[in-house]
Amino acid sequence: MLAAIKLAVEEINQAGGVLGKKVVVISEDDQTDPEAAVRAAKKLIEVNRVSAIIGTWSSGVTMAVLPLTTKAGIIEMNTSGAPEISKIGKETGLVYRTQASNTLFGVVFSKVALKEGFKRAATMAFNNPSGLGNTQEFAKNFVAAGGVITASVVYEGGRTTYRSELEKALSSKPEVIVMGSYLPDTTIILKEWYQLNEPMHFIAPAWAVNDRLIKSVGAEVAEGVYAVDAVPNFGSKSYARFAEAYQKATGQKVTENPYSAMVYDATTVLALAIEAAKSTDPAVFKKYIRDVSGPPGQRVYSFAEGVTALKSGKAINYEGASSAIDFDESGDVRPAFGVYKVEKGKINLKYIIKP
Amino acid sequence: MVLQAIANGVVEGSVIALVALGLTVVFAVSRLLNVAHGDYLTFGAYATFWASQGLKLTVPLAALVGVVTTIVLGLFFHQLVFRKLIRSSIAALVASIGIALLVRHAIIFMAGTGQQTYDLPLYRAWRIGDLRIIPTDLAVVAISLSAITLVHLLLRYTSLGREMRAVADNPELARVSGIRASRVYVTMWVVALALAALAGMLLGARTVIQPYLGWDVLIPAFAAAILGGLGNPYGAILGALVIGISQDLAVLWVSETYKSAIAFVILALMLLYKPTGLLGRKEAVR
Repeated sequence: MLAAIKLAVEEINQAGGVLGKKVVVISEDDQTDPEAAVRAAKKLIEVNRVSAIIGTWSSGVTMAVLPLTTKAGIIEMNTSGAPEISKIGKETGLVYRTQASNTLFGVVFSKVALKEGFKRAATMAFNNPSGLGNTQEFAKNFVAAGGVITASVVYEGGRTTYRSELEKALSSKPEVIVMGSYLPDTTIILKEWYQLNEPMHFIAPAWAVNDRLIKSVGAEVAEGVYAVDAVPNFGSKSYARFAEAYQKATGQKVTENPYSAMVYDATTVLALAIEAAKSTDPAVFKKYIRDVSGPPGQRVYSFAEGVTALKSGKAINYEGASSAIDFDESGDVRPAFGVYKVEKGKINLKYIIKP
Repeated sequence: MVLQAIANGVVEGSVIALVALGLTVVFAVSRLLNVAHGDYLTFGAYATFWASQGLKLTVPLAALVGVVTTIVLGLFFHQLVFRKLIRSSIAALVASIGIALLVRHAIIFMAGTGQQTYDLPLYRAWRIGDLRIIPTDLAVVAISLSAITLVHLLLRYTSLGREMRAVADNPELARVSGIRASRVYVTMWVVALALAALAGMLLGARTVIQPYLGWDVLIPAFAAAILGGLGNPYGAILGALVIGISQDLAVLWVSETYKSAIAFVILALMLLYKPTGLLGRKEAVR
């Protein structure tokens, strides 16, 4: 993710910087641990006096950092999913996320389940805001569309076995189990499910069902599992440019780490907002974030393009590499979603859903 | 359903029993609450993984490498740290926390925080009536049971075992009757570390190998050891089974979200009504 932020900053500085000055990135490692994140954020705010923090990934980390950034009055741009973040974003206007919220994940999960012809579903959720957010929103939408929820299982993470939880879900006779889960627990649950020898379909977020999972459980166990995640803004000029630069810099494809495109967009939007506001004071430039990224305005696909348009006095609408980046009043975006299926040990993109 | 829950509980309990037994043996002999036990376990799981994937050894051979390297690691810290802190169990407890963190982060440094798995085949469950039994689980229970029996035989029928029990009962008396403490400590560590490494492999085989593998199982294992009466090997096994079975039984009536809390509710009740634990004696608590 840091590599993507640096790529964005490189482009910004090549185009002359923000307000004629070069942008500097100060990075800290949050270790996906709320405690470490709070320490890092304190340092960034108090010592480095930054005007924005970009790139917190875990919902737990973002929720821990938000009180600090809100108090300091600076911008926080994250790729977390927890629905609570929207509420804080709406109140303060300081929080923007370029990842879809779990609320939106729930909507998409429900669409996928219905499209695949499932009428009865059980949910299994890791007990945290993201896991619960996914499955509760799924249940709400699925029931509203005429589906039946047979069981809602919530489990504590870090356990060595989820067998009794899994059996509870299986014994309610669903046609599909929808998961709000992470990689380690999904690995254990799928392993146990396979050994129990009970036919079942699974829909899970793609951060839990990916190449690592297939490597851990084997192609046979993972066969037929659906994975859902927001997909990059395929076909946009910004995606094409970023994908190439990212692969060159890291040797990795953007589709292997979609968050890279999200933080790239966040960085670019931030720079454009500061340029438009002609101020680095977050209290001043915060209301420009929505202006430069959403309609109306001339569509621009890079920082350089945006700055040129701004200088000629035009309103702009940045179209990102991860999505169109049109923040709503809570600072949330509505990216398109890809639905993947594990087939013979490969994760194949089956279709795209626009929520 | 009830029968299935009990069966699941026995499987979970038998792994916790291995960990709790290791904890309680160390406590019985040296009065040390060894917080590093969980991370020794993680190390055993990783050492076996490295031996099987890196050195391409067969499963039994890799397991042997795992056990031996874990014993070497543990004896190293015994020589370096615990040997000098025998007189102060509080200092040793704090030191064990430090060793736990050191071992865990050394593992993270070498292997990263990502998960690993042993290259073991998965077998489908057997159905016996309504009961579903996973062959791998049966193997886990069998291995755990054999290890516990071995420890029992060692404690009961060998002179080393008798010396260990003597030191556990009364260290001063043991010393004046000519028992060499250093030999007893080394035996104690070998037993506890072998149990830890074995538990690590079983856990790794059933689930995934990750740096917090041992830390996550340490708390229920401590609960089991205390429930059975800290320092009593048979109490630790009984405590582990009680915790394993009651957790899985409870899911039938209580929300599974509170599964982890069940162990502590039982523990709290036990400490209220019988503070020495299930099989504990009064003088075991000093």
